[in-house]
Amino acid sequence: MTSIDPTLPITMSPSSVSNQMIEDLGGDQTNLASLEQQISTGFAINQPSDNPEGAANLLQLNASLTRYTQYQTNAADGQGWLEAGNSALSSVMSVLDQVQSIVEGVSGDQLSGNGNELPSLAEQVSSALSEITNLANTTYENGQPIFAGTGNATQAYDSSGTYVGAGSAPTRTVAPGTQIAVSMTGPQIFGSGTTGLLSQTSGSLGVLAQIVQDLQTGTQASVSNVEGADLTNLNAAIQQVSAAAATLGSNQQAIEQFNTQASQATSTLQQQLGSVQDVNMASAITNLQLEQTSYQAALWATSQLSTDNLAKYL
Amino acid sequence: MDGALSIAESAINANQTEIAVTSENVANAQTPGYAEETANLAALPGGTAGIGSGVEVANISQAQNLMLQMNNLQAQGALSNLNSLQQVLSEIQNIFPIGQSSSSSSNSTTTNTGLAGQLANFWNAWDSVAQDPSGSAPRTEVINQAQGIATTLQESSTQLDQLSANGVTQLQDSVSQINSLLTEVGQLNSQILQTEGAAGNPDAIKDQLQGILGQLAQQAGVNVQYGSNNTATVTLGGVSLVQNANVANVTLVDTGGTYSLQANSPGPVSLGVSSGTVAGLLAGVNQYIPQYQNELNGVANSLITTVNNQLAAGYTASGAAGGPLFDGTGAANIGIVAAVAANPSLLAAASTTGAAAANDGSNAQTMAEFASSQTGADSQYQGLIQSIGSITENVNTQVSAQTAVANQAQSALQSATGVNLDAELTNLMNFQSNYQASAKLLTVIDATMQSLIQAVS
Repeated sequence: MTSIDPTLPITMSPSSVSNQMIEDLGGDQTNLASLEQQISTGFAINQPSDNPEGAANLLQLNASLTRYTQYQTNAADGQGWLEAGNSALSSVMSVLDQVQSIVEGVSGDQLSGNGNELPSLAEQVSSALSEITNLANTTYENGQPIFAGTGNATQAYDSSGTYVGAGSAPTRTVAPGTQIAVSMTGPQIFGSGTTGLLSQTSGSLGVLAQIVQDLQTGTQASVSNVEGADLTNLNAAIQQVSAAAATLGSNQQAIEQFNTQASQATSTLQQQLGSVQDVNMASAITNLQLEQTSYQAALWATSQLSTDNLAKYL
Repeated sequence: MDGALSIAESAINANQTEIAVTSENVANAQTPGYAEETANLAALPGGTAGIGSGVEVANISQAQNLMLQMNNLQAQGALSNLNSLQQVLSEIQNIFPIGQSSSSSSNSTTTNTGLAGQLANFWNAWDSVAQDPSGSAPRTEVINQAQGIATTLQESSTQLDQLSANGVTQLQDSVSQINSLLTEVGQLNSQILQTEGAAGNPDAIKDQLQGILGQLAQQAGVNVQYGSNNTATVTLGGVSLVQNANVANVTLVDTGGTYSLQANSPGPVSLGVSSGTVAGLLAGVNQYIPQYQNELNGVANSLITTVNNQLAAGYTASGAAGGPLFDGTGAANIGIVAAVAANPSLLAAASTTGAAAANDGSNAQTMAEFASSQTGADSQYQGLIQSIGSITENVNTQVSAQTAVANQAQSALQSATGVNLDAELTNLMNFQSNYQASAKLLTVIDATMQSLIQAVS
């Protein structure tokens, strides 16, 4: 409420008094409207001029909040990829363990006698090969093959065990300027060519296909090859797969941490946003009551204006 | 006895005039521009034995305070200037909503309105493309968000244009009002001259002139000077617009989108206007609206350049070089390239060509990170909001201060020259008892005459 200026001359005409009153009432109404808007919206800043710096800050905080929410979404998506990858690789490991025990159990004895077990062992390794090929084609949301790098939207390996992906593994942005790989490419996990696990191309058989062929050939030489070079290659391949699983595991841990960080950043941003944009209800309501009192007083004074002049007493 | 009778008569006449002046004052207590009038009495000389011959109304004078009048005109002009500027600025401000988010909810569901929120969502949409580079839904989302941004920018730009057009219409209205007010001042000036020529009292015309000059000051912040002949000389920016009965008309001139006032006195002279409604509107139309149109164009241009450059650095899934998403150069003409809108797979989400591009979203990922850019469209828009906010806040403060100043100037003028009803009524009581006394005087003289007549009959 604007107080009546003490420097005004003592003699006041009715219209100068009423002008003053109208101004007081107008000022009170403006203050009331502003407080009522703050209380009804809950926002201290309803237009930029309420607090220009705060308004710009508000936009910045809102944008950061939206961005960090996306980082959480990105991290959650990456976690999904890494979980799918880890679970595929642990299945691969258990299949490879079976193959390893088969290969280690092969001996020249199995060549002789009626119970030639080699064909059935070959059969088992062959089915392990197709199982692992299937696992290498594991997909995540919308059928994206997780081990195909960025080069293929449908599969990582074709039916002959040839890698049809390309590029490096995709990444997710989990913090400003920070990308984490959410997978690995097929060759990084399964190797390639004759030391790789999956190739079934004749002339360049992969480790598993070579074992199958050697078991099927069933000669002394081929069986000793199984026990020798094939086993060495198999163990190397198993090591590579397990190293890949470890990498995916540590990426998964990292991405979980980033997810937590993004979520903490989100709540910090919300608190900051709250302190910029939220009305302090207690003080706003107190101020509103003060303004209402002052408005009522001004109204009362105005209502007295029209009645009090000398004419009343003449 | 004759002398006493005519003295009493003059007293009654003078009292009647005083009561009439009081009536006039009470009747005009609320009339804008009216100045309190006083009947000034003087004793009439002559008569027998130096008694004198009664009382007369020497003249009727008007309360005047030129300094307060000028102060008031200036204060009202300055207030009108700020008021009209405030109106333009708050309308500009309304074009740019700041949006709010519900921070109370623990999960982050931001409901961003306005361009800032749209930009944030647009950048995020690119991360969705990166998560599923071969999917069509995320790409369509990018197109939709881009379309929304383009629409908002275009609408804001159109609204600024409309605001400017409305300002010009208001200016034209003001100018035609100014011209009719100037004409009235000229007419009143010549009436004053005529009345004075006929030895009449031009006070009522001067009151009217006061009211008109007040309106002129509010419209254009004119300067007023009174001549010795009581006429008002009106100047604006040092150029004389009314002198005696001569009036120069004012026109609004458009010089390549910049507006100014010109007087034809008789040749065209440009007028510097720094006060009144017109000054505020001119500042809005010439300065502030173009300024924010420019800033908005800057935001649009920055967005177009950033997005299109990043796309040009990327490749489509088939390995083709990336093309632009936005066309246009500013807020008014920003749009989406039709071919991309029709076929979102043309968006260059991959950062490599060749086989590795088939399911690559790393260029989209890079695009999404522009959300955190400190120099891009987002921060430019924040700058725009802060700028319009500060200017509006500043003018709001000035308006409150100037409103107080103008009210005070008005009150001061009213106190000095306005009508105080209590004073008028007190005077009225005096005049009434005076009148009664004079009337009593008449009856006493009459009675004396009667007794004289009876004595001699």
